[in-house]
Amino acid sequence: MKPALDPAVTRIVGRAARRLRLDRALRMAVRAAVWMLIALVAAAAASTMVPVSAVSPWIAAMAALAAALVAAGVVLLTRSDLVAAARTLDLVLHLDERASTAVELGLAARSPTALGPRVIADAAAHLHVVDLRQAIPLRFPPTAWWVPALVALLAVWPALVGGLALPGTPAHRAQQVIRREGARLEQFAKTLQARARADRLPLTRRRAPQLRDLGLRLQQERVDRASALARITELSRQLESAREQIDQRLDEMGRPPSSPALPSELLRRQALQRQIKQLQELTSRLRQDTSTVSKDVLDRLAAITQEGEATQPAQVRQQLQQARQQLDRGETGAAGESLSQALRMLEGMETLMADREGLESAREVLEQSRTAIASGAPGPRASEQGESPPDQTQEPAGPGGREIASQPGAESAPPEGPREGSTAGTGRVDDRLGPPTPRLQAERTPQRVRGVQGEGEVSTSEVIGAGRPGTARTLPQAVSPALVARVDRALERAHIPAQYRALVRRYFERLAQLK
Amino acid sequence: MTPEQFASTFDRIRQQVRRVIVGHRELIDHVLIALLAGGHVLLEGVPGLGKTLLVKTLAQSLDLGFSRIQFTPDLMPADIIGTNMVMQDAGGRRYFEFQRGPVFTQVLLADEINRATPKTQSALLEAMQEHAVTAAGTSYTLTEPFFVMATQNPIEMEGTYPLPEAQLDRFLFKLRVEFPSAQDLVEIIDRTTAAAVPQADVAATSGQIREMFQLAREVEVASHVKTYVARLIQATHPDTGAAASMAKRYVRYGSSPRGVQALILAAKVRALIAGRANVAFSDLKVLALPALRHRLILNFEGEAEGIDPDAIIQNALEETTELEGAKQRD
Repeated sequence: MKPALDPAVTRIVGRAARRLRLDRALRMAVRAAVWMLIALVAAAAASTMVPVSAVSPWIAAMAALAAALVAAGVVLLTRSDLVAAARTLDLVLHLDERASTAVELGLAARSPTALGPRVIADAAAHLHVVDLRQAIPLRFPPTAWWVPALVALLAVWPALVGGLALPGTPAHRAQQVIRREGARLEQFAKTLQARARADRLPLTRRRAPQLRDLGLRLQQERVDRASALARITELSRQLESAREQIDQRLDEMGRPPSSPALPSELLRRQALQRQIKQLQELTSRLRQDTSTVSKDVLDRLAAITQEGEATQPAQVRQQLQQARQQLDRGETGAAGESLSQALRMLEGMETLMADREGLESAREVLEQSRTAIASGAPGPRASEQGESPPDQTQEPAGPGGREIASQPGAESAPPEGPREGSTAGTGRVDDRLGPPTPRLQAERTPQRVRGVQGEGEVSTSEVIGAGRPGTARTLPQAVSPALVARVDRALERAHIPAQYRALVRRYFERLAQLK
Repeated sequence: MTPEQFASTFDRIRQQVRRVIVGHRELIDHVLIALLAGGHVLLEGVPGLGKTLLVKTLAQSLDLGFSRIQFTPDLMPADIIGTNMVMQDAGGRRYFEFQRGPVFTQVLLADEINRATPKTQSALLEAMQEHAVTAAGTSYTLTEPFFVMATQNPIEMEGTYPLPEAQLDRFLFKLRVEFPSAQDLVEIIDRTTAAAVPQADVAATSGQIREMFQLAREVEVASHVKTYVARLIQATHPDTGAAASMAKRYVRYGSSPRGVQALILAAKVRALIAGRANVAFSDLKVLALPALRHRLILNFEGEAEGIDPDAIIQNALEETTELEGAKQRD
């Protein structure tokens, strides 16, 4: 017959089991937090080799807390083990296995000996005077100080080690890409700033220094991939917000919706510029000769009105209509005034659209940089992508208004080959070519400025056009045998793929023939 | 018999023995524990330390029969067990009658057991294990309690026959009789050279001893305590996963399963003496040395380096945790 376990023993051992479970939960929580923080520190240390960002102290603290709570929860959800608690009580209180033997006797299915009840009574007598708080104190384990130490380490990590990358590691390559993109952004920002200053584009002018500052920071500071992307995203968001402001103002001005005839902003703006020029001519003609109104003026005004249906706001069209009526009535002065008002409105609108395009182009460049940094491959160069401000491509640099054509496939960088440029169609050699050659062959547009020197407005503009293909100006020189021998040796050393070896050799042979 | 009566009886016996034997407190306790656990004891010590007196006193205080056999190389098994002798009755008819040897007693002192030949030593085997002897095809049961106390001299090894492992294993304890301290020597002088030499009174009867046997076997042992003993025994075996570091290096063969039985039985007695009805780890730790030291067979390296088996057992105790797979609470 199984002896009944004394209620006092059950109660005390049960309480001990609960305290032990709490104590174990505490220890497991600390252990889980410490391991989580160690893992995060290891991840932060790995950021010097692979392009991952170090975790912020807040996130680390939250992760450690979460790990601690989960570990404690798991322990607390487990069922209390009375036997284990009794064994611990025996150990802690030096009860000579009285409690554990008694609990085993009370719980076990085996039949006890004649001394079984005696063991239980003995255990009850010993456990009766036990102070569980003293016997099983709830306290943090000695490893608890690791938690604040590791959080502090993670807090000072960005200042001490953040952004450092070991040479030759993926993190170092990612950092090089970030710096290259920083240089690209800085270069673009300079051009954009000059353009914004020249064209008086307020929002673009305000944002260009931010872009430049970002470019400089990406080059100078120890920035990891995540923070670089975060900064780019933040600026991109600001640019987007500014663009929305412009859109709102354009809508307030009554910008007509896009039509099939002029689907893009670019074409609309070109049409607007044309109309502004024509209106300027008409206005100046009306100012010069106010006595008569020729039929040509009326026809041109009608053409402008008709052409501007897709681009002009309703108020402008109304002003133009009014000007026509006034011209019909012979009120030349009033018509000139109406035209001037329409012209001012159109010019204001054109400035806003130019501002918008400037911001949009900056945003696109940021997006390209973001893609390049995120993928780890260097982005396209400014010269390749036509990243000069939009006006430089639209403003006719000469007759014909050349635009820089984007290179096919420039949006996504080709994958890096085992040796850059060694595989046909893959790889890039941009970084080995040095800085881009200035486009010196852009067509020049002679402009004659009328007036007296030193008077009137000063207009300056930087025109950068596309280069034209042409022949090399430096003729091939005679190749000395010593150089040929050097080339041979270089060919041997250069690990040129077998399929290209003949091609390279033929190139040099042709050089020799040219000689 | 209750545990309290057990403890008080044990205390009475101990007091009576201590009236005659000076010092050797732990030795006396261990001898009594072995006796109450139903085991035999091998005493190892130089001559003159009071081994014989101890056994004689024990027999006196327990009111048990006592025999002493001085083992010599020419001692024959029949000298121990007894022999059939030709007798003649009143009618002149002759018949065989078994003449009982000195083994037919309750407390047997086998003095200098290693001086007899293995053949003679093995004559004690059946008596020690089965508590019975067989002569001329007839088995004779020995009177309970039967307790063998053998002695051997660890120094003088010339002309001796070391006990075989099988026979060593049959001893519950191997106890070492240490030389008494100066204070004890003075006490010995006082007690043995005076006009009145102290004698032990009877403290318990054989019936009480048998009851104590029974009660000791009723003592409870928790499962984790049993597991601990099993792991401790495994720790003395070099080929097991739980082997202690010294056992791996110096032991050829560890303790036999008899070691587990001996340790638990002795621990049960010690628990009752301590006023407990359950075995504690402390009982096992105290009794591990006398219960296991003669059960380890050292390898060549252990023999060559003169390793004491006590050191190996101590190492096994240190390396075997009380709760398996669990660390002690901070």
